[in-house]
Amino acid sequence: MRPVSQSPLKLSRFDRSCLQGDEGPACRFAMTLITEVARATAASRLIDISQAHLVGSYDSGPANVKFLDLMLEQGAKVRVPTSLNASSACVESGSPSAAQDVRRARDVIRRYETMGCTPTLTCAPYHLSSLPRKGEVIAWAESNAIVYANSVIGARTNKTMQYLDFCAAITGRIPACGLYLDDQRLATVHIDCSGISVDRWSESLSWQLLGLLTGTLAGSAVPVLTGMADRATADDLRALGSGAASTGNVAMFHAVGLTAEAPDLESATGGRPVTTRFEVGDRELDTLENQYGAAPGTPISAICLGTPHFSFAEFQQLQAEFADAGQVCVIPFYVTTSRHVRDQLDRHGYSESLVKSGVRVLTDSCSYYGRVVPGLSGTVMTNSAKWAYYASGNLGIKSSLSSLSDCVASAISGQVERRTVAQS
Amino acid sequence: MRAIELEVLVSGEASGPLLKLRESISFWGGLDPASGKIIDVQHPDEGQCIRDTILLLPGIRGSTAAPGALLECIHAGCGPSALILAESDPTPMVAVLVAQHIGLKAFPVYSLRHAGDMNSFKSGRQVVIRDGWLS
Repeated sequence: MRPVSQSPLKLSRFDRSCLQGDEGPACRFAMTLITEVARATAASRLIDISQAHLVGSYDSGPANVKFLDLMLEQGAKVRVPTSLNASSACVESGSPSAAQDVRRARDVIRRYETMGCTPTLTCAPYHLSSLPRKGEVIAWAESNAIVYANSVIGARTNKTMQYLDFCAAITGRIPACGLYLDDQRLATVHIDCSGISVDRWSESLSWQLLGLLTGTLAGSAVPVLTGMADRATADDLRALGSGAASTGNVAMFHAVGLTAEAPDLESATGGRPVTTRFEVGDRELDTLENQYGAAPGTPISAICLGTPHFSFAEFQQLQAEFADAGQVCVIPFYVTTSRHVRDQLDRHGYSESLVKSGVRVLTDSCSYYGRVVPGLSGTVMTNSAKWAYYASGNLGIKSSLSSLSDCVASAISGQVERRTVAQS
Repeated sequence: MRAIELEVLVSGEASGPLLKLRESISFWGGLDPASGKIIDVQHPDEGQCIRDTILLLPGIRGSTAAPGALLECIHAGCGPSALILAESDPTPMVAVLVAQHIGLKAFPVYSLRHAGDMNSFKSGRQVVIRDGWLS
């Protein structure tokens, strides 16, 4: 039988000693899995990673627990700083999740902690003090974090899948393929956004919608976007990436003048011609806005924000919206975030005023996983393209995507408010 | 149908009815691991069951948690007899290696040597995979 890779995989002395079992049976298995993936992806060597972010910190079932138990028994320990993604339940005291779900999630998290992982329980590891630097080689799972790391920070990671992430953390090694290689980071698809009106760039919803559109147009390719605003917030760029990773397989994008490796178009493409070029404008955004937004007046059962986990800046905006409105929610209003950002809220005294407005801040998990928060039915409103894209399938509800200020207005009235309805 | 050469990702032999998916799939959220049924309402093959089939798919998309869903599917005895990818992707291989590590019997994984061969297949047909050839 022919191996997929024709070029032989070069292994270091350490890689070989892991394969021989010198580092213990858990490390032998981890290195075997890594080298198999290296062969399947035609990587010629393995490289060191400085940190890992694992997606498997939720309860995915009994086989997963069996595997973790076996790895523990075989002496598994992570070799690099390793953070954990959001879990299948909110595991802090006062959690709205079912007791059984909390217990199972805690069981999985505890096993990872025993192996040396830090229970960060967030899908936004770039909000932590451990965020990587430009050029750093990391192994992150969780699609939005991957796009953010590659595009906004300029760190290097592939879309590391579950178990490969864990094996990379155990060995500190990863196959050198895909976005670890310079030429694979260059854009092959060009999305010209100059048809989008200048005033739209100040609305965060535009970035969410452009993300959905970018994923559809780019698929698995690295796109470069031009003709955008000359300034963007970190939240704008992550909205774009998170949406693109939902509708497409996008693991990196360039936005000229805005992202880490795109000071100009030539840097983003490496001076090579792109395979496809698209032009997008207000009309495309309007179409998506109407497709993802329910009609004004539609009754809603809840508001869900924080997919990916809400940033401190987003909380500041949310608090300002409620302060301006001077009214409180008549329906449940959930915002998911990391403990790290929640502690920041506490320190700045925001938590109390959010509670008074009727906002419930949840940590450790995400409201679009089934059963995390109770009472979601009918139509649920969000400002997150990723939530809107996945929640209907995961939860069997209808989602309505709108701006943050529309979400606040709708929470106060109990029905969909859209202050600016796009022309269809 | 002429015999088609496959790239071997996880070796093994298999036979059974072919199930060809019309679009790539996200195993996490798109597959019910307890039954092997495709539950993604946006997928054209929603409702089909991958259990004991020779599963041919154009690609894998979506969540990085896909190996976890496939692993549980194998553990529940609802996995396919073999899996063939139009484009090489390590996702199923990772699930199979983890399954084997905990003593589960898993399935062989292949990719098409020529992605265009995808068009030569129709669902429902009985096929055999032996020595890296599909016939």
